[in-house]
Amino acid sequence: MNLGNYDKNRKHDNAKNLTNCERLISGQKEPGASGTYENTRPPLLEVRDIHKRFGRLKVLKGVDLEVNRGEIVGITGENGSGKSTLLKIIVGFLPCDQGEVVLRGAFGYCPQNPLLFDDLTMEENISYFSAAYGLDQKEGISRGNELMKMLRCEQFRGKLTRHLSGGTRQKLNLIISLLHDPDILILDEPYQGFDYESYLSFWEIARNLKEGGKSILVVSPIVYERYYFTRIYKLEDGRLKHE
Amino acid sequence: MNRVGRILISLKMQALEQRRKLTILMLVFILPVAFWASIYYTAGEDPVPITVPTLNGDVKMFVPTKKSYPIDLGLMAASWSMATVAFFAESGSAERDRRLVLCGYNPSQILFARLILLTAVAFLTSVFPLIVFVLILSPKHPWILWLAFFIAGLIAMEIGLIIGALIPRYTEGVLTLIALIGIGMSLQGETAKFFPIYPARQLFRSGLFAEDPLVLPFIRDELLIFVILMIVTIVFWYFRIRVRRWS
Repeated sequence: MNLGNYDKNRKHDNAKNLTNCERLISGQKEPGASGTYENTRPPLLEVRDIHKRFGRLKVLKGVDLEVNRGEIVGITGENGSGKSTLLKIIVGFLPCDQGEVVLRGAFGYCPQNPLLFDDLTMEENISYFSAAYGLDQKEGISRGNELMKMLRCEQFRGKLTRHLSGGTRQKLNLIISLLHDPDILILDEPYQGFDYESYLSFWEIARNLKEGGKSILVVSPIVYERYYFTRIYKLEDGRLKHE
Repeated sequence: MNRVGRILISLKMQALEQRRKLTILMLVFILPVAFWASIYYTAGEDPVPITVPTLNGDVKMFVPTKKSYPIDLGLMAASWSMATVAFFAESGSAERDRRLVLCGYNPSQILFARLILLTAVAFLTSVFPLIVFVLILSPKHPWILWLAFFIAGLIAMEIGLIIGALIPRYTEGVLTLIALIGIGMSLQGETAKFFPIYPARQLFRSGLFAEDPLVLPFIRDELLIFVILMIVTIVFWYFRIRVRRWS
């Protein structure tokens, strides 16, 4: 897995000359993709027997999870049940005490608390993270602009991040995780603070990604639209339980 | 995008961030100057003995009290400014830098860009007090004073980066910096030699008062301290910013 090496992971449709990001915006499917993506390939994400404790408190007691291509998997649970901890371990932000994670392909991570540069504008943040992903600056900003339009925040592109509302910061947080057209999106309460229109736009993006064979792992304490999800788990007593 | 491109983007973004923290920067630079000026203009003319390193060994000189203060206070003030700027550059962006690393940045590229930016700030920090000191103190060798300020700024930059990596919270970090500077100011005699900018202070004295100043041994000592602190900075930086790559 190499997040920075975008070009290697990028798929390109020569016939129609569409990148996956453009497909995401337009809602067109990747060649060979159907509504129910055929999972003949190994899962994009495998989590095996993850354990984590903070001092005496055992937060995760053997978590196993698989996310296949074209799936949207949800994880719910009470506050403090370890949902964010699990995601941080999956992406590599936090070490685990035991267990293993296998990530195939590029991933995008949207943390619960937006990790953004407050003294940079939205566009500058996008430019900085585009460089991190190894994207050409023009290309990165163009993608960012498209995503800003989709999430209805393009009017704030020149505004300093510290002056943005909570919802707009969260949108930028999500845009950054989508910039490099990842194979799997790992989202920690991605739509908190969104207005209803933006919430619907988020699910439109999610649906398009799913139809394009991408996968999404969403953590949220409450799940309303259950029909969007392929599977939903509840994190309870340190383990994932099928809902 | 290649490595140089990434370093340049990081440098640009970090410079933009610092420029927009103008109020903090102004306070960081004005506070020590105001502190130094208030002491300078209230100190008396009574002569006090100080030891000045020269090519022919240490020489004891009597200088007016108000001229002896700037030696320690001037360097401490410049060090405080530089260490604070470095601390804010590091501390404020620690978790964000980790996200950049997670997205593909190499930690060394971010650190390298930060060091370039802070070295430029250290250069500017050394020029401003030099102008003041040349006008007020009429030093024998102004370029040595500049060198002492610049070197002290680089050492302070590393101290700021280390504290920023170790203590990521603003309040605790700034208090630690103030405590360190306070300790540095109160150290006298042999114990003062253990403070990292002691060689820069000796260089400063030599450049200010000596006809035949002693330069090279102090540069050598500070270079050694710089390398040691740089290693510590890099170790703490990697420790602070590390992420796990699963496969």
